[in-house]
Amino acid sequence: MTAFILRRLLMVIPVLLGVSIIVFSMVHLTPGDPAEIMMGEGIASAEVLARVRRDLGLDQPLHVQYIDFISGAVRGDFGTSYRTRRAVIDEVRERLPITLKLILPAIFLATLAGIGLGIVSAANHDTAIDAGTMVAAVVWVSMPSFWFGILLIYLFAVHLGWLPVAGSGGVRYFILPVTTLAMQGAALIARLTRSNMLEVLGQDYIRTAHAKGVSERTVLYKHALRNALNPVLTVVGLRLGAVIAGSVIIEQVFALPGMGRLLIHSIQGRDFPAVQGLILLLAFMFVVTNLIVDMCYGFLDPRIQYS
Amino acid sequence: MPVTEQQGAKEDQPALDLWSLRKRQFLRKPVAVVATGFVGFMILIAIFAPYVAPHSYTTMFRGERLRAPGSEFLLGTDNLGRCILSRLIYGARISLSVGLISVGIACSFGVVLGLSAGYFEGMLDNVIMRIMDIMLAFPAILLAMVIIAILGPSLYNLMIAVGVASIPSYTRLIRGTTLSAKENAFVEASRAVGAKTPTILFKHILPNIVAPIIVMATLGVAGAILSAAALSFIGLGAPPPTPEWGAMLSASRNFIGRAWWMFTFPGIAITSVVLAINICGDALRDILDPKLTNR
Repeated sequence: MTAFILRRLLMVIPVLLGVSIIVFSMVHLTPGDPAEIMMGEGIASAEVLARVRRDLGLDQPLHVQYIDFISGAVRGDFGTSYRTRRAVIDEVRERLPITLKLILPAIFLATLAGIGLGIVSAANHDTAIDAGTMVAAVVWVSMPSFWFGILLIYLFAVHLGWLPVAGSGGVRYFILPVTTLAMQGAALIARLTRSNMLEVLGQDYIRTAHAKGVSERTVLYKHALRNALNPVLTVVGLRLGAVIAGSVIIEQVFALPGMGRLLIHSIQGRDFPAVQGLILLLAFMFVVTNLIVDMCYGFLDPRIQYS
Repeated sequence: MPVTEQQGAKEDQPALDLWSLRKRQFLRKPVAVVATGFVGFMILIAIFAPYVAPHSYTTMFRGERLRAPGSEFLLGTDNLGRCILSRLIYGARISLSVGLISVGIACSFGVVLGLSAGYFEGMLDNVIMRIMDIMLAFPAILLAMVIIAILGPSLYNLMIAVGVASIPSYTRLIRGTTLSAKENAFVEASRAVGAKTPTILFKHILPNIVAPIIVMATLGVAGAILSAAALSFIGLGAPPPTPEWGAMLSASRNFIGRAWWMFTFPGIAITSVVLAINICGDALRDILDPKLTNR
């Protein structure tokens, strides 16, 4: 087990290095001169551009620039935003809590609702409840989350006036965004939980449990659910990435000033230090969560051999 | 005589070759048949958009802004006085072509990379798969955003971004199926009779792993349409006045209290097309890949 954890940790290093190389290359792959993009195209004089290049280290050879970039990134220094002239890390620090307040409850809600609906569906197999839940799940998976968000805004904010339309503030501002972000994951998790439960419920030891008189509830929750949940955890893990990426879009729907909104504005404004810092952080979050999910398998399913 | 009659009866029994069996299985799924019909209908609409659309998608009718659905404008007009129905019809062209082209990009790279990684193994496999691991370290939409940040927002770059971002998942699938397909005796046999490697790869292995690729590509079109709509929604897709469905939804946000039709119809368009393609994909999976259970 320890060996597995160590090897899994070591495997992360090349991936993170590769990610950093991709993110670093962004500036150099973009058509156009970064110094000119920063100062506004066709405005600055040649001397000013030369000075900017020197200040940004753009006159250095590529490998020196990369080492500067990576050693800065490790210390949390992603440079200065072209647009706001503030340190990127300060901008991120302001916005990270908002993004986390969106992501974490959404993952929790998606998992809870998805597993709940999946169990209800499986326990009522071949009834109207099952069919209804599954049809809803298929439609939900096909629905763009941002449209679902707009519909929620229309119903609960514009029409009923119960919740604010957009913006950031107390808990009330997060109810609709979290629900929107959770819904697609909930639908996928519900489908998977149901099919796993049905598979497990068809196995011999479940019949044995029934035969020896174990109550329906105990069979469902104690015997079946435990074994059905492991593959579900994989999907929850895979959903983490979708939720992190989805938060970028949902923040835009609800005008939440989180990391995603900053990322979009930075991409549109060709603000490369900010884009690089944000992408690096989001990818890092994703890699780390995947790592944690991988390690959880061993604890949840002792049958898994780490060889 | 009765003997020949019996023989005749036997011959009348259709010799169930694979494809007619599959066709039967398909026709037994009414929902899938309807969904396929709907997708076909949307493709026709997209192709014949100029003949079907009542108006041009750019014409701004004076004094007709935010008109509710009615006899003149069946689905109403937007904040600039443009016919929403016409924009949706032209938008079908964009969404469907983004879906098909980006999946085409992802599939062709995925086939070449996955086949070579799976067939040759060793060093090449290692290099390809480690690069894929790095790409998979970004959630797909985020990777697409990186690509758009580099190339700049436009319709073509949107197709490239969505396509490239899904290369790793195709490569993984195709590598895995290639690894097991090449263990078949006929692969060894064709190698023994001196078939060249490309022949083995594309004539013997590829046809045998095509079923899961078709399933994944079909579901992939639905996913690509959703991703493209999301990227357009946040302003990283085609610039205005392109009638992209996600961009139309983005514009509707400022008029949410005044014009319900602006956000209702583009949303229905995206959801129904994606839903129909997903249903087709699920049906194809059931039919082509009996080993995979429908999840």
